Amino acid sequence: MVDQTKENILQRLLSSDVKADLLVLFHKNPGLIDTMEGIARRIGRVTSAVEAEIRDLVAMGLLKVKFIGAAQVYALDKVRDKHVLDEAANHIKSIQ
Amino acid sequence: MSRTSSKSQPRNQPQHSEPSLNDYSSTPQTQESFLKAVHDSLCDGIQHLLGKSTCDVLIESYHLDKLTNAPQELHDQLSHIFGSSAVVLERIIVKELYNTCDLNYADTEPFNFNLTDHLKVARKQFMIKTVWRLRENGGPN
Repeated sequence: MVDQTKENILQRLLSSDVKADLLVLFHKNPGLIDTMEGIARRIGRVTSAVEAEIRDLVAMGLLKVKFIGAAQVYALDKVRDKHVLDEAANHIKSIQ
Repeated sequence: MSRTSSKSQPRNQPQHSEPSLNDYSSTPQTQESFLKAVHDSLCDGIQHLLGKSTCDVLIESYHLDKLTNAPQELHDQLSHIFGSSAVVLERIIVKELYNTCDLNYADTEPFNFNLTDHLKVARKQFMIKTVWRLRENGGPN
């Protein structure tokens, strides 16, 4: 039986080009900490185009939010990221 | 001023604006370097998007690395695994490929521009670039 939760994780990770660009950005730069505007600029998008996707990555636990002064910044949660990606890998293995 | 492109020209007319691809570009070494670039981009794209564990599973269990010269089969296999989301991963792989081959990637292609089309364009640009470089260096060896 296909695990719906794991299947959903995979679908959620690949739900849009913007989210894919965000994941690639953070996986290539795991130490990156930046504001939403800064992140959008790094992937060549406007803030409004990334807002919903960043919020979804936060909801999934892949990104964590911090406050530096008045600025809200985002960083990769490496532990949670590894856990989610391992789950996705296990799911892919199971559907063979 | 009109710009000519391979898309707008009729198939039966010679394309004078492009360098000839029949000299160095069809050598096994050039083909091999392009396929190696596709292989590396496939692995890097998957790894950067979905992590090393997913990349390892896709290589070990689905042998995606053996499909670098068969874009349609690669697309079919990715679609089997990821469903309609496969195109999102394919776009990342194509971007990696263009980056690896030092080609300009335009994120403005039509929606129906698929993996096979992208790889065809990348291969052609790669060959042109290789011919150009070889000519600048006075030919192969």
